[in-house]
Amino acid sequence: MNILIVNDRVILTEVSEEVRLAVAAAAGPNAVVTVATNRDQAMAAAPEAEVILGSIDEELFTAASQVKWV
Amino acid sequence: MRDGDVILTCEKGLVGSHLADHAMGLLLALTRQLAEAIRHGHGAWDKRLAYRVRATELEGRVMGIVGYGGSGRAIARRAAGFGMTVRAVDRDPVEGDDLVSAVERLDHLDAMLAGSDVVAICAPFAAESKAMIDAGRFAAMRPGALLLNVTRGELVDHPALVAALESGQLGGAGLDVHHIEPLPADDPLWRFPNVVMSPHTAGASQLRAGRNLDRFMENLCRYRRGKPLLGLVDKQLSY
Repeated sequence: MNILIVNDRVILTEVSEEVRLAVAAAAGPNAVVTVATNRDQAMAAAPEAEVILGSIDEELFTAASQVKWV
Repeated sequence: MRDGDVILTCEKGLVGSHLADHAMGLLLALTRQLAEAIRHGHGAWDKRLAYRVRATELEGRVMGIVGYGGSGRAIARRAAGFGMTVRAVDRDPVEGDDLVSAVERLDHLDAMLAGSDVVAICAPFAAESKAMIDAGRFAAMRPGALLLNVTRGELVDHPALVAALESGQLGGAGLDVHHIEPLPADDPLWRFPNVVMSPHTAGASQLRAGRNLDRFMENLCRYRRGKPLLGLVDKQLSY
């Protein structure tokens, strides 16, 4: 499972490495969890994401061609 | 997204406590003349008699809540703590609780407005709720009532709000959200001393991120097992 966490620093004020690892563990084997802290990182990770957590706009949603759950 | 298969969940049910804290802060800023006193700084001392004449307490007043979901219930709990009676309407058939025995439907909105000293907007934004608090709703309110909005600015008809304040039909407003954000510097709302505003900060809380992550972790487990997710959004209703 490929998970993208969009850290907008407004709602998700901080996503630590500990949280990222906990999400990866909960997501199961071979999970990939990316924490994007800026727009470029989010856009780069979006095409592979099955799950996105955080703020998302039309452009990011369009780029997330494989997303199943926001 | 609206018509596709992508599942959308949100933090509904998780934001009520801090929105309600903020709403009560705005309300107290109005009723206790705190905003005026802070605005006047050192000069407030010379105005204290005027503040005392206008200062009111919440004990025995009626809080009318439009939308009795998580935020509405959180405001109800706080209002009851201040000795207020609580009434509520909701567009959906929702359960009452120990504060509001019967949550009325929207066709009772005007009656609730007429019987409320304070009206708190807590409904989600949807096509049918846009500008739902319009000139007719302001006219239905008890003269001098106060309006609180910490959820969605689009629910209030802005020109009607300004007109109700200018006429005195509305006694004041505590607003964290607006139909346009940021509210333009020349907007008439800035002129009213009985309007207190904050810059869409009611959603801020040191607990919000943790609550979101907790829900996400729970939902992640559910998602993997094919179970219903928490905070699921009805994409056709937009909430």
